[in-house]
Amino acid sequence: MNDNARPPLRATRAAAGSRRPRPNSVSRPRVRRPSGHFPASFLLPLGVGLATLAFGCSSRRPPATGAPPAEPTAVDAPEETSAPRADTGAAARSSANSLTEDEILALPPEDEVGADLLDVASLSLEELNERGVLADIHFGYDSAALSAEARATLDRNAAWLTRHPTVRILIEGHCDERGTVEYNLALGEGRARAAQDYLGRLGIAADRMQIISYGKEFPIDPGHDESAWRRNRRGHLEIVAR
Amino acid sequence: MTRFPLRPPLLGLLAAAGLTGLGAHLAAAFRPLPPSRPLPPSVAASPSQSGDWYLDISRPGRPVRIAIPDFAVESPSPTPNPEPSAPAGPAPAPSAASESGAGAAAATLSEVLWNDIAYAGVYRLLPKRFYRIAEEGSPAGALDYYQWESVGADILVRGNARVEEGRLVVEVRLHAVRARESVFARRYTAGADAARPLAHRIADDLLLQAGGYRGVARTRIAFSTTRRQQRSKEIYLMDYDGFGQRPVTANGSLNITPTWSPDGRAISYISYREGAPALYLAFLYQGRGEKLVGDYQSFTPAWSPDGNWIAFTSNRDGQSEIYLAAVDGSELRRLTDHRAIDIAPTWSPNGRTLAFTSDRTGAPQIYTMDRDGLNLRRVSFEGSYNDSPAWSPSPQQSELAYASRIERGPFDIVVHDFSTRQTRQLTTGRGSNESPSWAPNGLHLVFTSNRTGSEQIFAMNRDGSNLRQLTEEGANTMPRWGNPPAAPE
Repeated sequence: MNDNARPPLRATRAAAGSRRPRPNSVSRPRVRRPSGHFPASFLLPLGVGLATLAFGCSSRRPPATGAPPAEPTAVDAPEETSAPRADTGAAARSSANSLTEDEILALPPEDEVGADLLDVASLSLEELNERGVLADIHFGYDSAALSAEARATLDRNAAWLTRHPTVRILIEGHCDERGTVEYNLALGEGRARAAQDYLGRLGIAADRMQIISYGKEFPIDPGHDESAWRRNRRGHLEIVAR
Repeated sequence: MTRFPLRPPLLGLLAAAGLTGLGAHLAAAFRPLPPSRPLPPSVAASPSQSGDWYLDISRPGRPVRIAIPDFAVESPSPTPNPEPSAPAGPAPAPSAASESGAGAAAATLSEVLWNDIAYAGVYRLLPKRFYRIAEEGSPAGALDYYQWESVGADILVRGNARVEEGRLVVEVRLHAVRARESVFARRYTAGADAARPLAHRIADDLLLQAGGYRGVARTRIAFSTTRRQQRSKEIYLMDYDGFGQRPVTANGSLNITPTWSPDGRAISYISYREGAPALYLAFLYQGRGEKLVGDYQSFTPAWSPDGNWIAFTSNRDGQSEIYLAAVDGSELRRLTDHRAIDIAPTWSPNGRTLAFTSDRTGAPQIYTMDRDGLNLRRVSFEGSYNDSPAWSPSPQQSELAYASRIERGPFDIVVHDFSTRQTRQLTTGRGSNESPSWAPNGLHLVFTSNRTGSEQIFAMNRDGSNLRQLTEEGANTMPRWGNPPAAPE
């Protein structure tokens, strides 16, 4: 996957504030950082800053509030292609409201660029995971099979993992509340294993990945309807070492 | 009908500490009192396995009726009171205090014993409003069997309680009314605050003596609960009636699928406390726990009836398979070998067969196999999704309970009878009902249901009757009914 082709669109989308909350941060019991999620708009100026200034990523304070970041024109995109990309971004923005949930869930992760531009080594594991640099994948009911969307997400995750060869991950398999405790423990394991096998075929070394099943014990969405179940049938990639 | 009052989780104590204290109370000796007269041979009496005698008074045609008047409160036995010349003041207080202590204990004893006998369902409890007629007809303080017979009692249980030197002393007599005999009498002593466990003990003794029935009043139920901390599940215990809910684990992680040792003194469960789900043991009365099998993911332990083995699920060979390990973690061996999911083993009462869940046909169904992994048989053919098998511990019954998705959607508890190859449904149409577990006598089950809106633990008889809700706080799942704790070696 060519990463250079993607940043402007993503940056634009992030700047537009269309980012949904990342589900990853509640996948396991843990103390939440009081500041919560980083504002998406923070990532862009930071990325811009990195290119020109010695604007250390360690200065992790929020940006001046509300200052809409400039369009990512001059810095990281060639002049002649910036306009069409901006249009694409605007189109994505305007159509975002009409997306179905499946399409929303299939959207690629928004903040990969920002995280890439940051120095991974300087972030805590918790911060890395909260940014969701590795996106969740979702499964069909009572299935551990990887959908086309799930494989595409794993392709991107694998690309990121390839660029960060020291990172180790824990692949969590989760299930929705339908089905029994016992079977879901095994099903969650099957989901985690399916993701592990696929990443392995993409060249991620086996010793960088571990799997764990949470069955239906830790739903990310406490609801009892189709949309909650869809969110809860997931594989989550947690960064455990970098 | 009696309702089981619910109580918030009792003690903040760890189970080990709490139960050790309780054990000490109850370890206090009881000794048999001689029956007031020797057993006449005309009363059909047969020896129970313990060598005691129990009475078979069942008559065809109508249920046996039992009368249990409230226990009497006795003054402390003739301890010479302070000298008459003692100055007025606090001197009489101890006597009054012990009498009120005995009064409260007697009230608890009467209520708990009544509930226990009612729950067992062996006898019909004669309503208390009839008792006055019988008591007023009898000479003061004496027992007139004719009066009790005339109000319809077949069995009469009379007891009294007093406090002696801070200890609760309770005497109980069981009378066969038509035979005009006191056939069982015992004196119990226990700690002054142990009226409830003492009543359970008396109930189990009475049920055994007066019918050879193995009661469940001293049994406990382990379960997994969210009540302690957000986004964690801990293993808790409760008495069979929902009282005394108390923690076994307190590590803030995910602790699930408890299973009891046959002697009721240890619980095996799965904990994520070190990351990967591993098999742990908690020894309740020794205040210690240990990790049994780690390194790989392990799930759904089940203790063998002889206490020597734990069957469980592990992915150590790359897929969900059933394994067996000795209780010290040695002698690990694999029983299943199939690329499908195999999980949730449960033992037959003789320890020679295991039932488990497998989706090797494409959907989860129940199978049995010998304990060496051979002789595979499919058990469940109805329902699109069957899991959570629980083999009845009663050797007479040969029954297997499990959760079955009969229609699309929720589960119901069903029981398969191996002798008739019939399956009966115990719950119907109220929420999803999952995770059945049998009482040690095979006559009752506990299970999880979300019929009230959250997952809670319920108990019912093996025909689906006598439904009771045992938990209320938090979400409570995966109940496992255990034996009463055996006396320490």
